[in-house]
Amino acid sequence: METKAEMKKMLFVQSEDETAFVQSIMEHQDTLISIAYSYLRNRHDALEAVQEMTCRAWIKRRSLKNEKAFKSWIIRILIYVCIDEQRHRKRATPLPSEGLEEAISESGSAGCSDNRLAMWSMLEKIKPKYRHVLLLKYYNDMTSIEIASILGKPEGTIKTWQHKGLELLRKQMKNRGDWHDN
Amino acid sequence: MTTSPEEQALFADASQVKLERQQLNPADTAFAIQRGLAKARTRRMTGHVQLKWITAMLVTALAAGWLLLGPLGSSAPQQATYSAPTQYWGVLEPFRELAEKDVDGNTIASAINNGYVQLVDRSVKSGIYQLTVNAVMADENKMIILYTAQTDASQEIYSVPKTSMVNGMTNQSLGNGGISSLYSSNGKYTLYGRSTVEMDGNTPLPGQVKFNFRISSVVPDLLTDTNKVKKDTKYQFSKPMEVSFDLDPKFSVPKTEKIKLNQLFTIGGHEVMLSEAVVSPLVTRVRFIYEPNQKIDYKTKLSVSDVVKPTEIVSTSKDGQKTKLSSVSGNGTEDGMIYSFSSNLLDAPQSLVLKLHGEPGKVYDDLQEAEKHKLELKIK
Repeated sequence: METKAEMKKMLFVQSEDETAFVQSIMEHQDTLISIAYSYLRNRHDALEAVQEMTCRAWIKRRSLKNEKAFKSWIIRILIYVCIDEQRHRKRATPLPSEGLEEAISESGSAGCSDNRLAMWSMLEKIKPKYRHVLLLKYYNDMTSIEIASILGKPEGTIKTWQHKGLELLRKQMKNRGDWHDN
Repeated sequence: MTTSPEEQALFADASQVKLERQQLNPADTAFAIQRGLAKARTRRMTGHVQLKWITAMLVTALAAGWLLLGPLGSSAPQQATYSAPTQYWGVLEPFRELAEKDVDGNTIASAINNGYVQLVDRSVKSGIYQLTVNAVMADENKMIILYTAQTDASQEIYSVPKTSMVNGMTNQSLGNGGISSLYSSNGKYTLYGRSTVEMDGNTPLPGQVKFNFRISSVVPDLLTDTNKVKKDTKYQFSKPMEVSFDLDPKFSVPKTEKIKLNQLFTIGGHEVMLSEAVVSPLVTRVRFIYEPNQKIDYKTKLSVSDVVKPTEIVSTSKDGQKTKLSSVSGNGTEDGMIYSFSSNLLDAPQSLVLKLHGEPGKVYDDLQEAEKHKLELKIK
């Protein structure tokens, strides 16, 4: 149940009040950067994605039908931005793992194992809709209900996608026999 | 509850990602959000420009029609006026007033408007005193720290009388002199300030900065008898305090432009050369060589210094908007002087014109007359 103050604030989201709009996004900044980082694994790109998401959200704010769904709406935009960035990376870099390796060395995790790179590479091969569920659930601790709200699908569908995503991941891991040896 | 091997692998990878994520500075996210809004504004403006272009085409077509077919009415198209909106500074909004009053305010505004700033948001508390370093901006030539100093309700804040910046790795000072503070207050217990240090431009920026300072406050007058002669106000000082923070490597990307000028001019009977200008995001420096064709003694140097009085640089943008860049400091050199001014390099100025007092020592009746007699030297 939303308080009166929250309701009042939400009414500002679609107005010209930039301050209220920014504050509404700021309230979810931890979630946003967390999601962006789980998709892009690079500090700079994650911050760029949050920046681009804010830009798109402000321009499209009048298209938000239900202001109560503001959080889901901005997360959805952020996911689209991250997908765009991943596509851009694929086009821009002939070696898919190049950017990731650089990102990992930048993040200072010198002891990063091969499993880390392998997991990312496997996740990238999974259908986007399944990948969204896995990233939101396991990397961002979201419940099926929250993911359903973000992706605009019934909870049952999300559970199915999670199941299928895990199944695909299992197949890929089996193909990489050395997974548990590292 | 049992977890499958693939789930275990996901959890393991996720925990590593979460660890990395903890290294992210929340202030950077906040600023990314603000930059996003600024970007949206720019896109919207671009849309407006396109709309204006279409409108202009339509107006031209209508005007052509009017000329060919005769007047359709007496109404003339009105010229649209546009004024740039004020950019929202987010958590740095309290510093707007300071920037408006500050001699170096145009530099601060230009840097913040262009996202050339790192939000730090690091605080330290000692007794009744607290200081937060809100943000920093830096280039090879200058570093500016924006801070908020506070006291608790027991004493009013007075000033931040001493600040210094040192390289966090080597403990060496980041610059000799040039340190200044200016603040605007918000009530009795809070000061918004900036501290600046100018650097030589040849030393790499440090990876970590230590900001040292003391805060002073007013000791409350305990005498209740108002008939007695009021005692001198007493001040109390905090212990030396320090906030350290990592400097964003983005500031180390060189942005400085060096412009060779070698423009000779005569003023007050002396020949002077404007030899070069150094323009970086946070400072514009101009170098003068006095009597370049002869060896001068100290006395002559002083007398030339008395007549070479640069007042400001006028920066003009692509759309004709003019910004006055104030003189902020000056340093003597072996053969002349180097003067520093504010900078708005990040706003991509199309031209920079240095203005000097044209007739040193002359007293003018009004400012307009003085302005007319100013000497103008084109930098770019």
